[in-house]
Amino acid sequence: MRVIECDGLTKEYKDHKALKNVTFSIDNIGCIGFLGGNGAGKTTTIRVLTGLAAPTAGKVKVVGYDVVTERNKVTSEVGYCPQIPAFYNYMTAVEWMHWVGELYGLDKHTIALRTDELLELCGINEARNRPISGYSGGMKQRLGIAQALIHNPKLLVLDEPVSALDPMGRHDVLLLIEKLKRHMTVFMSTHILDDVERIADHIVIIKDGTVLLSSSLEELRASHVEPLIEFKLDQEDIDLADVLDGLAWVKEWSQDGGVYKVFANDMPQAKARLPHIVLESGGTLAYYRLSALTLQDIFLKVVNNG
Amino acid sequence: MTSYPMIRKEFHELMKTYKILIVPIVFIALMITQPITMKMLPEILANSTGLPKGTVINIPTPSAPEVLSTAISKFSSLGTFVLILVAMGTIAGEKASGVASMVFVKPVSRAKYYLAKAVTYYALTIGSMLIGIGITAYYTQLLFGQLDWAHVWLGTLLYIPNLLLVVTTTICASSFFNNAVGAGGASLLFNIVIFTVPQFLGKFLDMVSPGGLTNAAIMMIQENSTIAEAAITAVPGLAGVLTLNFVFFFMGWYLLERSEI
Repeated sequence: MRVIECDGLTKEYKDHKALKNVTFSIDNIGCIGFLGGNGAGKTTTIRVLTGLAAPTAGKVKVVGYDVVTERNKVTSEVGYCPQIPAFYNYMTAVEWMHWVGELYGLDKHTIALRTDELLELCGINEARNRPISGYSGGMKQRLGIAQALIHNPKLLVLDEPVSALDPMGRHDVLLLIEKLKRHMTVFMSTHILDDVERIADHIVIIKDGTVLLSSSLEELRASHVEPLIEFKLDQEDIDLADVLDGLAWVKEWSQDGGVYKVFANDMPQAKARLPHIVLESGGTLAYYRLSALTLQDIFLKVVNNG
Repeated sequence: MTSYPMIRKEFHELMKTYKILIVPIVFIALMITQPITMKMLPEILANSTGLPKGTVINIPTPSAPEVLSTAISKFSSLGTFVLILVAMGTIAGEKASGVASMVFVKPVSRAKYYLAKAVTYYALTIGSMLIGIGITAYYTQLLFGQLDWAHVWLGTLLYIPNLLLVVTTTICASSFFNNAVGAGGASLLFNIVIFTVPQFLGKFLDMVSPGGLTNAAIMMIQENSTIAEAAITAVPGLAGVLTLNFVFFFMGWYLLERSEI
């Protein structure tokens, strides 16, 4: 069964088209990184997937159910935490969790067990009986994730889950997502590409309401392998521009803060010649490595070409 | 999922936000001032300055039903305002804060959400009005003499649909607007129009309007007619106001179903 199936999803508002024929599908458990710049259509897509907004055109199925005609079945199988989760601030975390559990039709015993387990797992157990009005942004984010998990969903949708967290909180939440993705599909939108690179198994890139790429991270890396050598000189005043421009086996190169990135047409020759070129220029190497493209490189490449 | 968790949460919210205390107390305060003021009026006038020496003012003592009916008519405008203030953010505020999206991604239909809001605010309004009128009538009886309680309660029950109309229209506006102030403003404007304009548009529209129902309720409380006569007078107003309640209840539901959260 496909966890997410978007076929020609289009969403129009009065004055603009937020999503244009979005088509992608996810058919396994794991973590899906949903990437795109501001206004690319990430949140609109998430709103359609969670049943908050209806598509203008196209077919969208989540865990096998149509988001328009089988909305209740979709909401029963999906957990969602928005970028800025909001709560009834007079409630405590425990009261909120119990209420949400009741909405999912869970019995009291299960609710109590899941509440204890999830508040502990998300690191807010100590504040469980304090009114949510006194919570920090990070604590609300953790509670948002905890409540999204109370019914053990098949799909967990997280909109920018670590944007409000401090470095420790971010680390904890990423660890939590790594654990969760073994049991369910986690669909996570974010701007932080390092996080996605660390935990995602599948990448979807969206720009201007159109999906540019949907691929597993492994396949993506394999298809974007480029012969790249990265090195840094101890001497920042040595300029290799003239030398590199004149070499036939150099496809393109860039330099930023003394770090050179050289894309080669002929990798064996590049590996053999580059250290000599550096020595001949009178410089010494601070480091030298054969490098793969980072997700950021791939993202920028896809988005700029798209 | 049943509606029970939603309704229970709404009542819990009334308690946590003290609305369950504030609204009855405000209702009592708005109504009870009338019998007290009327009782104290001769003394107030006697102690007031600026009157020529030797001025004699004879104020006939009003009857208890007259005092109570005046209390209700004085309560109308401020009571409406209080209800709008209390209910205007119930949906609009939740849409603005993002709580509504947290709720609607769960297996909760918008119909149940809307119904829970309406039921809770109807119960708060009815309870507050009954407490307010009960205490005011008790004080009126102490200060001005005997009241016929059957007339008092029946008159109050006739008046209550008007208050429910204020709640219904406010919740309807709250479904449409994404901020509480917009919802409150729209509801206030509508209620000013619906409570005042029909009296200038002919006898029929006046009779079926909320103003016509208020007059019938006051007639019942004043004990100038039998219960049956007053009840018959109230029929057109009751039919008109209940229809308006029905229409705006479903319009609010429809608007919520159609709105993008």
